[in-house]
Amino acid sequence: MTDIPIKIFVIYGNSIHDFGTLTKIIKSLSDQRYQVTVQHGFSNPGSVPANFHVFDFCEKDKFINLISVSDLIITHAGVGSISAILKQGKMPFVMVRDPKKNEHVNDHQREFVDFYSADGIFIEVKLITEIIDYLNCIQSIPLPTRKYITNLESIRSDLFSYIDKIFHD
Amino acid sequence: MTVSKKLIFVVSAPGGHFSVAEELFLGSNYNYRFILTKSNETVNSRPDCYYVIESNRDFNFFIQLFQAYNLIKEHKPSLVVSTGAGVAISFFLCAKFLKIPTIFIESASRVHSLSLSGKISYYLADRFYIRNKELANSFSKAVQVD
Repeated sequence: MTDIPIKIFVIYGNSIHDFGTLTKIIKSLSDQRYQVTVQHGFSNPGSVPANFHVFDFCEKDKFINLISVSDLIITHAGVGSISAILKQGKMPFVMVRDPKKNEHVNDHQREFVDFYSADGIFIEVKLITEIIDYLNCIQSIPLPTRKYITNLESIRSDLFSYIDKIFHD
Repeated sequence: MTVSKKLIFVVSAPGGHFSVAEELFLGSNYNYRFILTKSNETVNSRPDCYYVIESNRDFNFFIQLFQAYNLIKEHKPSLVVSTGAGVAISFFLCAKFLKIPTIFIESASRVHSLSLSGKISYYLADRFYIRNKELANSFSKAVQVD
């Protein structure tokens, strides 16, 4: 058995709504084998296990580095966080904010996750046991099928052509 | 290659909206300036950004609108681009009033309906990008690029 802790990064994003569901499930990651870093944003993390390091927000460089060094990343279903994880070729484990629990203003995270669920660019998590299963066989986490949600290159190309056109008219 | 001196305001909320704005414009040859809403998570002010107050569908919107008008009057951008969210409305209203063209890029998270800022910006923006084909059927003016 290895002594190297398994690094887990948990991302709440920057929504002003408390993501209580995520707070509740991650507290099961109290096993000392895990080194859990939590960016809790505006959510209240409450008391956390000793193996947790929590902060509200951080600089982008630190955020990117935490994704880079982590073995498993759990995130709210925000496209910014998911895109940042995919960009590094890692598989995001996503939890959806539920507006019925006042975790978001509407259900667009659910719609987004359902829409892309078959694409292999994230794994939706509803129960902590699903994460523990992956942690117990961490080598088997699949790679995402691509490194982006939608291809920004195409938009950039069209956008810049349009800008050039209006600037030269 | 000639670099355009015309200024572009690239307006967004922090987080995912700003990531898209950065990905689109960082390294480009345009003369652009990011405009970000300022909230607790904006850890350090960046030299390439101007900041306006954050509004969550509250009274701050009017302060933000005032700040947007002042920034546009002072810097006279030739174009305002926004990747969302609500801060787009303040800048687009001012830009519309001052006859400055606007472009809105809807979030990839919107797959069945537009965001509130997207719904309003759809009527204000000169060009409107969506990311999902399904939405293209409902919004004829929108540009959907694969």
